[in-house]
Amino acid sequence: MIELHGVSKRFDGKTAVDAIDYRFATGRVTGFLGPNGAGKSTTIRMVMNIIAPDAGRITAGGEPLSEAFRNRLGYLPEERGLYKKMRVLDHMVFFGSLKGLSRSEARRRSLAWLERLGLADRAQGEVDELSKGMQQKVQFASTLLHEPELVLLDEPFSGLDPINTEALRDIMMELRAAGHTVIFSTHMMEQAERLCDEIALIDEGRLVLAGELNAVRSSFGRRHLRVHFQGEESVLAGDPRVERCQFPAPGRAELDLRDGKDVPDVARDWSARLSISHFEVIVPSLHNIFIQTVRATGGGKEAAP
Amino acid sequence: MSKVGAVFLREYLERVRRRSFWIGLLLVPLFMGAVIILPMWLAGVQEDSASTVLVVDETGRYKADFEAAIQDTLAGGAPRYVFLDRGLDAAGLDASRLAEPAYLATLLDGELLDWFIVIPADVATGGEVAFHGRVVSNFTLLEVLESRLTDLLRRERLARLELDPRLLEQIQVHARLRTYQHKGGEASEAGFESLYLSTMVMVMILYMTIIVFGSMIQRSILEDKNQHVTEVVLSSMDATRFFTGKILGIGAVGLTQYLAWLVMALAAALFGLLTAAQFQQLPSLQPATFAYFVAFYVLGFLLYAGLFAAAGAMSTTDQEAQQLQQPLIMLLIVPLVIIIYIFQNPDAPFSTVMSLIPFFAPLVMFMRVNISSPPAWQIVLAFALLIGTIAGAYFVSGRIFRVGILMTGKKASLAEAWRWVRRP
Repeated sequence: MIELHGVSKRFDGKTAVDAIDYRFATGRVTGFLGPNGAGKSTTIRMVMNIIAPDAGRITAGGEPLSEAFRNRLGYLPEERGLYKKMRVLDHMVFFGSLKGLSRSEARRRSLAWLERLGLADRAQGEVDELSKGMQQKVQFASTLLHEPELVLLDEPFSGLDPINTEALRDIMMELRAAGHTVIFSTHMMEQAERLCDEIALIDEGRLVLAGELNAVRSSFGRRHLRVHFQGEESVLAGDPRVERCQFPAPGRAELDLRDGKDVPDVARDWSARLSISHFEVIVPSLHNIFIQTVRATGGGKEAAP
Repeated sequence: MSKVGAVFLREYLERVRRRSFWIGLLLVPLFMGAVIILPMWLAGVQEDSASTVLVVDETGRYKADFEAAIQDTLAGGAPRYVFLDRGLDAAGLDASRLAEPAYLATLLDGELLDWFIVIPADVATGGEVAFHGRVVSNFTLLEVLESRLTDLLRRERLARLELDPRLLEQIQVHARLRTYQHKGGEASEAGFESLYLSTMVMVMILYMTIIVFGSMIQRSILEDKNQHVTEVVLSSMDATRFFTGKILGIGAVGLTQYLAWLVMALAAALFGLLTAAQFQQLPSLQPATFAYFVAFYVLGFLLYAGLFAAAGAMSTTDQEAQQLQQPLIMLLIVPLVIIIYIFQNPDAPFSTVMSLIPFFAPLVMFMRVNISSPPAWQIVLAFALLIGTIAGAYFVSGRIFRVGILMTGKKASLAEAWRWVRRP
């Protein structure tokens, strides 16, 4: 739906985004991952036309992004902000009309959202009478008021308590179920792991890893095995397909297979020669993939856990 | 609804809804009324108690006449002045020393005397009359004393020439000019005062509006920036349209205020608070002048509003905003500094040039149109330059705005702002 072609942005001589080529998948949840300062927000801001790229193009279906197209996007900036002295309902109507909704329609939808969020009784109150969490919810609802086909959320979970995090996740799952495209940036890997279909990992302004979450995971995880067995250790240690082998305790092994070696093959061979009680392909957490990739590219000095 | 409309409506409704708007709406006319009416009322109130005074006449000829000339009665019917040496059985006063300045000075200090005046022996040939008092700033009193003394001396001179002193009244005459202003083939009776007054009233309205609402726009943009609202707004529309909506919204608040005050003034007039005489004092307003006023008012407001908006986008705190306001206020003050020159030489080259420069045109060209008849091409050129500058200012401000709005760390230098203009 949205394509980035060699998009770059520099600030004061420092490269924030470095020639990113990427295509956001339609109808999926994409996690835009990276350490703090990797260039996630800058990229999202360029997509939202808040800042202009120094080089490269951002297109939708090959066309430059028009305002009509942007009206079908919902954007939650990293720096959240609402007019503190405005009435909650008026504020939502204002945000809705900025996306081209009529005032009456914006009003109707805002009331429905406030009802859903349990804030119906606050509609006529001023924004700064709401707690921080409530303000976050109001802002999130404002982002979705015009039922955008594509939602861009910049660090949506930052500053949320567990209950609101759960509520936000429910809404995101709902959006995906309804066929909307969701792109969100985060440095919290557990959230990404639970929500994403696709991930794009950026570090120091460069795209270092991208693809379907499961594919990425298995490409990292296919080679790592944990085996509980009875028999000769040399069956495992001496196998030419094994790259590295450790025995943390007698009858327990942790192994890495060489590239291109099939797990079912080795499993079949070994079970013929050993008595195996436990055979596990260890899927690495996104967290580990993240750390590993960032280390491999030599960046992420500030890498978040 | 258009997005500009949404921003406009929000800006307008949020301001009009606030209590401070209504307080201002009511307080300003009350304050203005007080400022106009109080001094008029106070000027009519004179200190109404008798003063003890003394006339020391070294010539021996004027004392009685002078005292009679300045004497007046208080509201209660008692004489205004008690002359210290008249009917005095005075407590502890040494009547023989009443001509000694040093002694009189001690009486002043002791508050036995309010003031004394010494007419020297050579007054008829130019000697200076001295007034001694604890207060010498009561200019009405001093004027009365001077004019009475002048009368006495004139009569004395007439008498010396063996002429009838009553000639003095007969030769009193004052020549006056009636002024007619010719404009577009029509002559109207207009004098410096009425022109000056009507021009100044409009210039001040324009000036005040720009200062008050310009800084309101600046503050509003700074506030948006600090509340992080702008990022959402800018993801939906471009910066120029955003602050166009904002500026129009705040401008409409100003317009509402002026309309409300106009209605109040008319209502006050209807209820007879203003007398017919006061109405006649109001400068007569020609429809053409008013049309020019509205045109220059709107364009002047839009130009400075755009500049103030840019200043708001460049700053991150109120203090910085105020610093950035200074150069804009300077631009506004220039026309006020040269106002008298323009009045005297409305068509001089300097006046013409100043009236074409867009930053000064709203005030200076309006003045020229009001007091003279500048050629049509100059008026058209002034409008064209003004409109062109507004378009340019909005483009530049839009660029500055778009980059500046995301900057919350430090104030932008002018060089930096220029870079933003060239490449956002």
